[in-house]
Amino acid sequence: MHIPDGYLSPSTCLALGAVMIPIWYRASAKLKKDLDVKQVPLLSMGAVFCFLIMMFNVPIPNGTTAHAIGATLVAIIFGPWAAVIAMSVALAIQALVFADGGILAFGANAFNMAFIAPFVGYYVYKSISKNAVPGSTRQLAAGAIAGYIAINCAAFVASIEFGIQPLFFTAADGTPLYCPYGLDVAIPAMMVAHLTVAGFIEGIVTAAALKFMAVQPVTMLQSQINKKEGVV
Amino acid sequence: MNRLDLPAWLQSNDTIRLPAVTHSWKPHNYLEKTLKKIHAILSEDNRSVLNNQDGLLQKLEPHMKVTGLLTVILLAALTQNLVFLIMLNSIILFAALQSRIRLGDYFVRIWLPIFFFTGIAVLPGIINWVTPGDPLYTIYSNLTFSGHFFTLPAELTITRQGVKSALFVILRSAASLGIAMLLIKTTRWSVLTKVLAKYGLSNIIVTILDMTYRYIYLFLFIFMDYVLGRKSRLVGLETQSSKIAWIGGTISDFLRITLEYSQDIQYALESRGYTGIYYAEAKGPLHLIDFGFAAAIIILGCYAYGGINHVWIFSL
Repeated sequence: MHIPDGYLSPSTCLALGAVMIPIWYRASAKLKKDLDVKQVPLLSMGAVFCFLIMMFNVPIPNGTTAHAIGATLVAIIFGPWAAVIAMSVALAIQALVFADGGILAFGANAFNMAFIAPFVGYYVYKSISKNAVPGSTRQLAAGAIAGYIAINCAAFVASIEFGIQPLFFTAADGTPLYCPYGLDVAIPAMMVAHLTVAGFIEGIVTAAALKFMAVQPVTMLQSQINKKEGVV
Repeated sequence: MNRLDLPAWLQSNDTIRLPAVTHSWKPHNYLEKTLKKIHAILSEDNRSVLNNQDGLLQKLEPHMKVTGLLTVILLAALTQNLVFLIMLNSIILFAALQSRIRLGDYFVRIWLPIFFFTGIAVLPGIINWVTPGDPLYTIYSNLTFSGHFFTLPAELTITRQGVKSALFVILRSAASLGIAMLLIKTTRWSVLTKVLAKYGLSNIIVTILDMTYRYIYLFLFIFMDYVLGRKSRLVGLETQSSKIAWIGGTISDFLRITLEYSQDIQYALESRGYTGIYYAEAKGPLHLIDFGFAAAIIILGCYAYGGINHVWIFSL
C-alpha cells in the first residue's frame, strides 16, 4: 500500500498533497482549535502505535505473512481526525527513515492511508456497531467489516492513482513516464490482492484487538482521554 | 501426586505436533519474520556514518543539504531523460561512498528492494499487451488460441516503450531511495526536524515527529521482548486462532502501554514548564563546499532539461 516514488507523477503527488493540506488543517483544528501542547504526547504515542501495528507479521493460511495498516483500529480508538495526524506522522517517519513509501509520494500515501482508510473504517464501524457492548459479537463484527472495507477503499483509490498515470503522462512515442499500468490492469491487480488477503488481515487484526481491549481497562482509559482532550 | 489432582491439560494424552525442522535461511514463522523486521530496523547503525566528519555530505550546511537533496528528488521525478537518471544514480552512489556509506549497505538498502519489488512489479509492463509500441523482441507471433474465457493475442513482443517505461520507474525509485538514504544517514534527526521547523512546519508537528521518532525505537525494543518471550515459550505448533489471539492481545497491550506513556510524558512536560515553543537554530555559516553543492544541483537541473537526448539508450 505504501507507494514509492517513481510510480506517480509529481503533479499527482502535488495534487494529493494539496488535497491533504486542508484535511491536516481541519484535523488540527478539530483537535482543539490548534494542536494543544497537552496533546503532543498522545498524538506521538498514537503515531508510535500506528507504526507498531504495521510491524506485526500476520500469518495467512498459505504459509506466508502480511501486515495490517491499522487505520480503522486507530480511528476507532482515537477518533478519525486524530487518526489522520497519527497515521500521517507514522507515514512521514516511514518514508524518511525506513524508505517505506516515497518522500514525494507522501501526500498520496497520506491521502490513502491517513484519510480514506480511517474515515471509511470509522464510519462503517459506527454505523454497524451503534451502541454495541464492548466485546460483543456485533462490535467485533463491526470492527472486522470496517477494517475490510476501509483497506479495500484505500486500495481502490491507490489503484486509480496508479491507473491514471498512463492516461495523462505519456511521452510523444507512447512511453508511459510513470506507472505503466492503466485502470484496466491496476484496479484488478490491486483489488484482487486486497479483497482476498489484505482486507481479511485488516479485519481480523481490528476485531482481535477490539476483543482484547474490551477485557482490558484500556477502554476506560481511552474514553477518559477522549473526554479530557476533546478527541472526537 | 494422584492423577486426578492434575489439571486437565496435563492429563491429556494428546501428542504435541512439533514444527518441522527447516534448513532454509528464509524465516517462515510469523514471529521470526516479525523479529527479522525489528532487527533490520534496530541494527541499522547510523552513528559511524553520522559522526564521520570527513564525509562529503556531513560537511554540508543542513539547510542547503536538505533543500538540495529534495530538489534532486523533484528533478528525478520530472525528467524525461533516461541518461540523466542513469547519471543521477551514479552520482548518488558516488556521494554515498564519499559520505562513508558502505557499498554493501547501499546495495542492500537500495538495489535489492528495487530489483525484487519494483523490478518484478514493472516487468509485465514491458510486453505489448500492457504497453503497445515498437517491438524489440518477439516472443511468439501468429498464434491463435481461444479458450472459453480467454483468448491469447496473436503476438507477444517486448516493446521499446515498455522497456523505457520500466527503466523510468526503476531508476526514479532508485534515485529517490538513494537520496532518502543519503539524507537520513548523513543528517541527525534532530537537525533534520530543525530544518523542517525553519521551513515553516508547525512547532507542535515538529515536536510530535521528534517524540515519535524517539519512542519508536523504545517500543521496538519492548516489541522485540514480547516476540522473543512468545517464541521462547512455544513448544508445539500454534493454531491459526491462537496466533491471531496473540497478535490481538499484544496490540491491545501496546495500546495500554502507549496511552500510559502519553500520560507520563504529558506530566513530565508540564512539570518542566514545556510551552510548545520549539527552538530551531539559525542557519549555519555557508562554506565553499555548500556553494559547490548548490552549483552542482543547478548543473544537474540544466542537464535534466537541456541535456543530450540522442544517446544510445534512446535508439533502443
